[in-house]
Amino acid sequence: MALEPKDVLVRMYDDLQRALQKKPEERRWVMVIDLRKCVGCHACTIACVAENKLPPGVVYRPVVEQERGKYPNVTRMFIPRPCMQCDEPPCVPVCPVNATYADEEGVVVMNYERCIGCRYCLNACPYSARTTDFGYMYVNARLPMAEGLILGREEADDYERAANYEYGIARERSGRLESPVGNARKCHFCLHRVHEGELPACTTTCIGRATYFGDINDPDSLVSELVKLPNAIRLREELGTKPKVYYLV
Amino acid sequence: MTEKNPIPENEQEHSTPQPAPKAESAPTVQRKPLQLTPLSILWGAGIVALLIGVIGLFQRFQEGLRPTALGSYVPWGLWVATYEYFVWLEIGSLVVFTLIVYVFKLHPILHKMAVTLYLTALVILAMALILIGLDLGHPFRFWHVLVWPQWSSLLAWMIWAHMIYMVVLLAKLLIEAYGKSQTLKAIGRALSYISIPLGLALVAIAGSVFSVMVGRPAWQGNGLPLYFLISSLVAGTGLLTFLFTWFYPNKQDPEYLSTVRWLGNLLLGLLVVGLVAASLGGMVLLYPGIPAQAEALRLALFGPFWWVYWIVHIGLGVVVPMALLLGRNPSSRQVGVAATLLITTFIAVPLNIVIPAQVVIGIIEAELVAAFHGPTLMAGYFPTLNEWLVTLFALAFGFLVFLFGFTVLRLRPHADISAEEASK
Repeated sequence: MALEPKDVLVRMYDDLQRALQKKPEERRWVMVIDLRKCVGCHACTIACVAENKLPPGVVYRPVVEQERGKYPNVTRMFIPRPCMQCDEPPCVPVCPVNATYADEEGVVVMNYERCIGCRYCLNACPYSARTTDFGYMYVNARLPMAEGLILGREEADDYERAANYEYGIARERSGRLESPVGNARKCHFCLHRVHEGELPACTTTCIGRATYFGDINDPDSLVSELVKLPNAIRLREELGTKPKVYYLV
Repeated sequence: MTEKNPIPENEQEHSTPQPAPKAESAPTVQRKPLQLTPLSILWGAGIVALLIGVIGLFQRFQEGLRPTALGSYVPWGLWVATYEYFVWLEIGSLVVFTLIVYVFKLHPILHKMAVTLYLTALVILAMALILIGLDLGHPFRFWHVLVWPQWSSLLAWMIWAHMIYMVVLLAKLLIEAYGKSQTLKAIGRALSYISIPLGLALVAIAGSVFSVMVGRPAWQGNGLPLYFLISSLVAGTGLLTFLFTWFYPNKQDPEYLSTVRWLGNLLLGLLVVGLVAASLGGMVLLYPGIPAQAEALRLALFGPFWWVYWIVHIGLGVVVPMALLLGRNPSSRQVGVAATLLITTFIAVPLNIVIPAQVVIGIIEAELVAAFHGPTLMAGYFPTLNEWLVTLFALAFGFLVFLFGFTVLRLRPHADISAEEASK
């Protein structure tokens, strides 16, 4: 690919601003991940954990590491695995209470207050992209106290209990069994950021500029250009789930 | 701090026990020493088991699902498997009973067991709903399924079908136990006919819940609903045989032994059908050897819990009962033991359907499991003490309700009613 005239992040911001001018139902968010550029730093995973304040056991964007070949002819490959935001999502029709659905922008979202925690969607997802929040906390009695330091058990506890803003709703983590504890959780393309004109946390944090985000309905957007490339693939296309996450290989 | 006397002063005089004047002529009343009857032992055991189970229940409500071994890669475990088994038992026994007594009008003596069978099925249904309810991340939101059902979800269908079935079963039990008029009896018969397609649909839906999941290739396909139906008939016949053999009051009834043997033969035949179906299904999975499908079965057969399949299910649940039933004229005790063994070990089947198909992610997607670590991101599963305790609670609860219905409400067969009279 030729050198971009400007940083892809700047271009994606411009694309994003343009998309936000449209009606929600007229835009279609997609993500493109260039596997040749991914160095396996896991910064996207951590950024996602920090942005959404994910508790232990909940992950939206793990980076799968694959080792190929036999020593000494070995190569490693890194495959970030967010929710594929399928156009035909197998997780949606199985929900008995309609707590998960594709919103008007095509992103599969969760209604935590509706979800009963049956975990049917976890088993239905062919990408294992959903996890359940069992209510674990990073801060517990086993964490050592660090008196006099900026960080320590108490400060970390305050941070962990402070609200996150998934879906634009402030939810404090009280330690009790309140939603989203007991619910299925998943990547939502950081819609709370996107609607404020910010790119998803994983996209801005990627040190290799390997993650791209934008509106595929905009022919001038970067992602529209990228998905047309012959080396753009989607995972498990044979299932017909039509993922909106593309990989450049 | 002084403790307040809970009894008002003006009442204390009356409430204070006064020493009774000794009357030498009064006859001395001798108290019977507390006797340990088999029934009191059963009540005691049930209550103790319930109290032990309550510990798990308390922990479940205090800490949510954290004390369980469930996770995001293995989200369904012991409670879901036990739920499936209870569905098989309750539906299978009623379907087989209704077919024998109402549809084919065979062995009218079996009708005397109706009230006991309905009580048992209702108790099993309650246990199933307790377990599946406690398996939810938010158990107190179970009503969401009734208010906001999504009909594309088989789980919604399953829960609705189960609720309707509960109402039908309760009505059948009440009519059978207390309905005297012919109209009520006619309604009871109609409900029995309705319960056959409704029950079979419920079992098939329960199987379809698994078979529609593309995320779990070992479940996916069209085999499980049929397999669930066969398993339900096997388990249900086992339960019916168990109840009739052990609980029928008049063992001297000339029809008793012949009916027991007939049920034994039916159980044997269904066991053979189940074995053939399971073998065919297994071979179809193993022959192509596609890891996503075959590894789950290999795990069940040769994995760390191989003994659940080979010893518990095949050994104690199939081979021994078949050996007992294959004799020329098995005694009622032989048939009873065979049925008891079958229904107590058949839980191995849903366990082997539910768990290995999820655990296999640790083999076929090992890199994903290794990608991020957390307390619930494990591919292995073995029920924790909490899961066993909650299961014990459900079992003990069911046992005590059964005992109450059987002994106090006298929902049991009466030997003095003739078979013809009962079937009217």
